[in-house]
Amino acid sequence: MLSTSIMTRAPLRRRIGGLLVCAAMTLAGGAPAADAPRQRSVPLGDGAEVTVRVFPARGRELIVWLPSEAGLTSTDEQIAAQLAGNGIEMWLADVINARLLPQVRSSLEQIPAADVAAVIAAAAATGKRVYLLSAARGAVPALRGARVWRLEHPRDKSLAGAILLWPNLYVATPEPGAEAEYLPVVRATRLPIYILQPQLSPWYWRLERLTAELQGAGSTVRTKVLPGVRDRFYFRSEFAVTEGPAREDELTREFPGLLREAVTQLNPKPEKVR
Amino acid sequence: MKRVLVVLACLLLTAGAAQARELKPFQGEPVPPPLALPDLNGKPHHLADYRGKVVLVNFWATWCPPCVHEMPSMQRLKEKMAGKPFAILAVDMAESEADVKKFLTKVKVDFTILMDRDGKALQRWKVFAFPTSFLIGPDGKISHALFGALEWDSEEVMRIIEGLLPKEAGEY
Repeated sequence: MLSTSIMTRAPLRRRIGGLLVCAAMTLAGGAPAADAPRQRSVPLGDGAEVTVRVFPARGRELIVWLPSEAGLTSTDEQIAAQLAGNGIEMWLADVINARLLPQVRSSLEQIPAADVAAVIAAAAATGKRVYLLSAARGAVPALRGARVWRLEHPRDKSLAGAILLWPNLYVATPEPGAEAEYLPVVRATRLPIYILQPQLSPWYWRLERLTAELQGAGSTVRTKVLPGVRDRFYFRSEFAVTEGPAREDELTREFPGLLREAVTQLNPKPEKVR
Repeated sequence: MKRVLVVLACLLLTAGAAQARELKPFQGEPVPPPLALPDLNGKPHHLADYRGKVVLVNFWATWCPPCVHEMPSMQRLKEKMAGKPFAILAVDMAESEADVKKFLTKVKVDFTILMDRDGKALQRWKVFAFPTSFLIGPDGKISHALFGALEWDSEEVMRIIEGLLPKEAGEY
């Protein structure tokens, strides 16, 4: 029989972890106070609009955070607030709700690439360097949107890259024993890309091949492996049925710093952290 | 609150999908890749040495909730198949012996656990997600496969496994 100790929900400490991230960043020396978050709308061509939660910052970097199959979580907002406090403006763009789609994985493939491109255009209009950020299947609308935006703005250098968290860019889960295939957008993307991949994941073993596929198409790819944690580690308390590895709490607190590092790695002329 | 309800709905949908998973006849190359790994005590195991038995090769990890969920049913399967030419080889994905031994103090199973320390076996077997299971027939070929968790001692699964057993001793 399973021990009850491992079948209960994730420990309270994990949920507290997200709050600690906020506290840790607030207490970090020299972090300027961010302006209050606000909401704005990005109009789409057909009358629809994308609601964007903006965490303003005075720095030159702007991250557009697109939803994964888990949507945009409260933990995402906490992390966004911390990064804004450190000078990176954060836009949480609800491109799923803009099309009244249900919050399930398949919805991410129905998001028109033009919707994401419109959000990128609005972000670029601020004059800041723009980075896309999304997790898991959210990598699909991110890369499709980036491609459309670049086709529409071939001379505009505003889009500096994409930060992909444990990206799922496969056509589908293959039958056991069959080789996984990548979506065509992998071969159609030419973008600086930074991948954060937890080690406790079957996809860790495919990171090398994904990197090669993206590079083969012309993207520049940097990767960072996160030892001792699983995919979705930083908000897994909402889903977990087993006690997670102890390292997940620690890395949850370090997560905003990892994203800052990703921006630095993607930016050829990094600005000092304010 | 709304977000919690949405998450719960997604989990229910996922659970429904997991329950719908079934052990299907394997459509790929039936000759399995090599599998030669040590168990928790360092004793080497070769899949080829299990010729003549039905073998459940299961790729898992201690941090994978569906893997943990199906393990008790694998233990019951082992007990129900006692005395028959059947074996379970549960291949752990690149964890330390200490982590797996600690896990086994909580989850009581005594089937063979193999240590794929460098992940080479899971790459050879093209394991995409956890758990992934293969049923090997007494002829040494892959007969059925499944991605996802299963109740391994259910009547339906037992019928498939018993159907694979050699009809007479020495048939293979």
